[in-house]
Amino acid sequence: MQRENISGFITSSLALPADLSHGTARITLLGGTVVRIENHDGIRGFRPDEIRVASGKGEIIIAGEELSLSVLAGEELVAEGTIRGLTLDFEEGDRP
Amino acid sequence: MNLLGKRAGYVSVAVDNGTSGLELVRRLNEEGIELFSVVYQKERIVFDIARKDLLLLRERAASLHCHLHVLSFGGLCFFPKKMKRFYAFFAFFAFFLLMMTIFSSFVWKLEIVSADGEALQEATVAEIEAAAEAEGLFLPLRKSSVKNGAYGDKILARCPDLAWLETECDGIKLLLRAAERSTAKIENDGVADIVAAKDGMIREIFVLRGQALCDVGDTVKKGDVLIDGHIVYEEEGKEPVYAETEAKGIITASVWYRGTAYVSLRQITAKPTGRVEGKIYVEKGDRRIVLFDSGEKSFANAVSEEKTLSFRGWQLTSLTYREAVAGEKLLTEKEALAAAEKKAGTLAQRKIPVTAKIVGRHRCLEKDIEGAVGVTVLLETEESESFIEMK
Repeated sequence: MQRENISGFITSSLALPADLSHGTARITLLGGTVVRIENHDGIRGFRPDEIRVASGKGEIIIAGEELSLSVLAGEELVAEGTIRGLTLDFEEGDRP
Repeated sequence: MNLLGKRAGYVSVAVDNGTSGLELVRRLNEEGIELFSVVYQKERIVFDIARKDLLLLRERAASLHCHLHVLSFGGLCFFPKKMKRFYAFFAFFAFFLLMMTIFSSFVWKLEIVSADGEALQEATVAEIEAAAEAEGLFLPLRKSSVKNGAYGDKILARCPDLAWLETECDGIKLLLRAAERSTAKIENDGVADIVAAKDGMIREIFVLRGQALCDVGDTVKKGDVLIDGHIVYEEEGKEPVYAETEAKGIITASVWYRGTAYVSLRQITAKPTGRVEGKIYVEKGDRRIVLFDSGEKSFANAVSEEKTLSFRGWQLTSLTYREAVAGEKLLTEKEALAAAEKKAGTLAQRKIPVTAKIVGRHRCLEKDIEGAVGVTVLLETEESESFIEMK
């Protein structure tokens, strides 16, 4: 059993909150202007209309207008702007 | 997230948004370096980075061949540097405050005022000024030397005409509030008596100056002296002392006004027939323009009525003759008496001054004349000012 699967198994067996397991991104959307992503794996792309954030085996895509990163610190980022969409682009079986 | 890191001091940096620019951001993020306000601006990525991470940023940028452009800097550590350009302003402000403090600690103007609101005599003001100078009170003067009140006492000691003196700092003014010693002054503007201006009966008398020559209830005639300006002080065993003054007092008296009227029992009345004649004309000086004329007056008996209107020297006149037939009306004695009383009352009232107050009304019948009745009305008034005059 791989390490991630073991941690997932333990989390589900002990009924722990999912965001405690390693590698699980926590996404908070505040209205349509602020997105906060914790436990991400880095920036993959940055344009005023799109921000691509790596998470696990996939990507979190923030689409919108005049997007900016008000905070980019370690495993946490806060994106601001007019948010039009939030896409979770993962391979089947994976989770963000 | 360490937001204090940015407040302590940050640098706003721009990097080209090529592969290397994004790679730089990514690498900084992987190394746990905090970036703030990351925005895409004109093909560049602009972000703020803490001052402490600036050296690391330079190293990473050099390794990735990125061009860094420092745009601005902020935060507490750069505050003194930013303030450098305002040094002149701060220096001027500090100088201004210093000068204000120095100037406001002195009094620059001396003002002598009366404590009771009445104007001080010129001699008293000059006396206070002289005393102040003698005591070394020269302007400008430090407020602290005035506040203990020592000057007030010293000036007061030098001015015998003053009963009290107080010093007070009002802004940059030094106020000297003084009260003059009140001395009993006898006003003597001349000799004058108060005499009755008309016949009447004294109701009240209150003497302020002089000697009363009448009492309440006395009947006085016009010209009688009520309060004498010549005073005689008599004391047993001593020579009488004579003094003169302008008499002053308040006197209230009852005054009666009479009006008499006769009314005939046979009244002539005019009964209009309805026929009217007249003319309308305008005139100015000797010039007259007739606008309407019904012709020569042809009525034997007529009641005439004239109305005029003036405008810029021109006078518009309307003259109307209404034909009437003379008639006779016999009044009863009661009706005639009522008409006579009304007429007499009006005649009496015309004589009363405006300030007088009517307090009583009396009526008496006059001796009858053949075919007529007569009534006299007496109006009783109470008068003060209009009853007396100075002589």
